[in-house]
Amino acid sequence: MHGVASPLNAAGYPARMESTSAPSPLRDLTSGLARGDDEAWTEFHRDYGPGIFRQHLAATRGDHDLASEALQQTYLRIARHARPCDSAPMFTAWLRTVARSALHDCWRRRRTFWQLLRNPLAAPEDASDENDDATLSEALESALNRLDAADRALLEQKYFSGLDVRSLAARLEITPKAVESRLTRARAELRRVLIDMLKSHE
Amino acid sequence: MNDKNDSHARLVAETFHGDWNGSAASKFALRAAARARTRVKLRHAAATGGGLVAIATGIFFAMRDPQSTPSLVPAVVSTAKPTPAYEIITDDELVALLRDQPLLILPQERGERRFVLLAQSTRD
Repeated sequence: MHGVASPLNAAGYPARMESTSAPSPLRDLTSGLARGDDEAWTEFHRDYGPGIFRQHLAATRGDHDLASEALQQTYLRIARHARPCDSAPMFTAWLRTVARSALHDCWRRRRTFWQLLRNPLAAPEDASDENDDATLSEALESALNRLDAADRALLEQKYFSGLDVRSLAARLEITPKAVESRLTRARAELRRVLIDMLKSHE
Repeated sequence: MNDKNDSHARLVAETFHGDWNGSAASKFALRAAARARTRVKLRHAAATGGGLVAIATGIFFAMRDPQSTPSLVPAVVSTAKPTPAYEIITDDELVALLRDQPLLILPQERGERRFVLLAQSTRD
């Protein structure tokens, strides 16, 4: 059994994180999470969701279904244990712990006896988060390099340079809808290549 | 997971979920929000219910008949020695007690003696 903290253990973090200092944006966000504000949860999903999903995807070596299920379980656990918090590093560490624990439980639920017999060392907890992240980053770089040059450039401009669809459309002299279509196709290809690469790491 | 500006994480998320903010995953967040609200309501209801129970308990004890409440004063323990149900006396003391009554003394084996009070035995 690896050292995944249970949500109950993880829930102990926020109480210690609380302080009496002036309200911070993070405190507002975490207070909203604890109250169940839709706006706070939308913000949290926008800002922290991709990181949690990336963590799950890296740990599951590209298993999209399992990563999505673990994401949902992570959110539910956060809803159960969230408390107002001021410390970004501690909040981030707590999120990682909750995410890892949720993924572990999803994995254990899904894993059957026969799968365990066939491949007992295939549990996602065998590798550390850092290794998983490194593997995913490496695979992502390789997958981007394998894409068509135009698709790669489009994705890099959208996600790394931060250009929005309207700006991209103006730059490429095509309609925003055409940009959306190209982005969708480029992401689909990236996804296919990325999954292949992650599976080859197993 | 310090991903507010993590473009890689966003690229990965949108590669698998399409538009992240409008994806199925965003429904997970709204579901979690609803769950958190339910928990808050339940917590408030439990706190309110607990308070009501405490108040009702307080009223119940305050309105109870004081005589029916058990006394907190400890029971007084009598220091007088209880009278014994019987007393062991010697043969001579028995003879002295029955001095004015007809008494038959029957020697028994091993030197013991049996006393028979004649007046009572004739009544029986």
